[in-house]
Amino acid sequence: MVIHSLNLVDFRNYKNIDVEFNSGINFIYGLNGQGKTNLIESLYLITHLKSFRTSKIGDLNSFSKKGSTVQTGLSKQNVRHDIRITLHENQKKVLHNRKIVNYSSEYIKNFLSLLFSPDQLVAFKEFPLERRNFIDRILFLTDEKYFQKIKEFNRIKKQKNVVLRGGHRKDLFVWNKLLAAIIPDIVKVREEIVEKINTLLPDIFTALTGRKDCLQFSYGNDLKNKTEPLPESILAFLLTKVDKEIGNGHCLFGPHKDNYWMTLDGRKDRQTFSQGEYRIAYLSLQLAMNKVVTTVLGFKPILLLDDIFSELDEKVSEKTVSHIVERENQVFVTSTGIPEKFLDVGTGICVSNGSLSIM
Amino acid sequence: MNIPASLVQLIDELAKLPGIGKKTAKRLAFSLLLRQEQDALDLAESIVRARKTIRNCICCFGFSDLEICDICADPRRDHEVICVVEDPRNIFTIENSHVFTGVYHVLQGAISPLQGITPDTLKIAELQNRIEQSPIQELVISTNPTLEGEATAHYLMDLFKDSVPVITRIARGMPAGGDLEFADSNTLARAFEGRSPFKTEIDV
Ligand SMILES: Nc1ncnc2c1ncn2[C@@H]1O[C@H](COP(=O)(O)OP(=O)(O)OP(=O)(O)O)[C@@H](O)[C@H]1O
Ligand SMILES: [Mg+2]
Ligand SMILES: [Zn+2]
Repeated sequence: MVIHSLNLVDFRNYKNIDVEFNSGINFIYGLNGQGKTNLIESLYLITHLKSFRTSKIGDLNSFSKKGSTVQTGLSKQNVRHDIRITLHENQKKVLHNRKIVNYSSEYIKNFLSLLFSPDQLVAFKEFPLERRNFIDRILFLTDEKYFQKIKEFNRIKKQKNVVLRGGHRKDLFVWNKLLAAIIPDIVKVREEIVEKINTLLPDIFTALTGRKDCLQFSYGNDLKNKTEPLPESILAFLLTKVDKEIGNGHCLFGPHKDNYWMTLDGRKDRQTFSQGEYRIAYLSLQLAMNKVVTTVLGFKPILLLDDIFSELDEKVSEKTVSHIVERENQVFVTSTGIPEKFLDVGTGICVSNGSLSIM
Repeated sequence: MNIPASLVQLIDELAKLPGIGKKTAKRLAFSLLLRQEQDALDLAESIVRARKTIRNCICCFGFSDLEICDICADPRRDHEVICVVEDPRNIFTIENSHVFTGVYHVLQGAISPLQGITPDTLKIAELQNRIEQSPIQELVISTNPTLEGEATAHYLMDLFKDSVPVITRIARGMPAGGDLEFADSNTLARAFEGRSPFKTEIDV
């Protein structure tokens, strides 16, 4: 998909701007605090109908303003879409081709952007929940059945938690049985996507760095070393943990405790990756995901790469740009430096205190 | 304008009914006052009569005018096959389709700890009693295809696996005559999961 034009009114530090984008690479550059991330945030809003920096949508309105609008013309698989998002205090109204959008969850299935941002990188590194969400968000878009299974799993878990808190031992069996029946399906989908990512990941890492060590993404299935991936074995396992779970008052085992991590030639990320290595690895993961979803969805997502070059050496930065160019996605990259050597592969957009000029 | 207190009360009572909002309640109330008085009184009387006479059958907990409902009292029905449903409405639906000749048992809900509904609050002990008193051949579990209905089905299956020879669960999936286009994705997913070999009428 390609975002052709953008109009922001009273959005963060933008009063009223109109801009046309390159359908390939857009380099957004400027000094600190000029509005680069704000621009990325508006593009993310178009595909996700929320922000990655705040859960309060009203934060997006310019200081002292009650509302704002984000308007865009984009195309996907040869179809043009006009989107107008109007914020008023903490409320949002979305018009998609002049028709009101009633369900965000339906709307966001239409479009996709993959975001790299320093804040998300930290969250991804620190919190297993964030890593699970990263994978799940993609799976929800590409696998309706998985989405339903997760919804059902969460509901069973909620019901079981009530029984655990009440300590009703004999009512527990049926919920454990339902959990045991659904868990293998969830695990299987997660295993499959990790496998798909891993067929692409080492090559992407090598392309970005020139290095030959093998980057892998690992899936830590919570139940892996505890039971066989079969309903009967999972049920048998859960039954041995009834006392422990009643003591804790909530479900202690299952996909909600799954984990993901990365390794380079077998060494684990958090303990042994350098800052730059983690950054490149995370970026490689996003780019691998880009390829995976492109085949499933039939269109290329937008890549939003905020502040990727800091902590990357010059060689890696250059290789990263050439790799991204080859992907042919529409890309928005921000940096503080003027990307002279990159200008011939895309359009430079200079941001200065809430105004944009195309170079 | 001052609305008479009795009219306000009527509107509020109507608005308590499922599927009736304030606006519809108002429309109904005014229409009851505008049409012939006898119509409204007949309606009121039928509500009173229904409420006063209809109770739960002491055997199956379906609705009945008498202590024991027509279905439970009918000797032509197969009393060795019991169909378990969540609420009395389900009996009417199944009866309308004329596919079932056994008898029923209404649980009065489905297990849902989140809503405080446990096996003990349902009519499960009564079902157990019933089966102990006169053994049956088959239990057809027709709880709804929701998670809670499914949980209830599993619960019953475990409870009766040693005392009832055959336990069946009605299939879930596409409603007959249902258009694929209008099926929600969950129903569709389940329909695919539960798909069965396609049998042709004629063997070639
Ligand atoms: N709601 C708002 N209304 C007006 N201005 C805002 C609002 N929210 C943030 N700003 C201002 O926008 C400015 C630019 O923010 P932004 O995060 O886009 O900077 P940036 O160009 O990405 O800088 P850096 O290179 O440091 O990441 C900040 O100085 C901030 O004060
Ligand atoms: Mg920034
Ligand atoms: Zn009866």
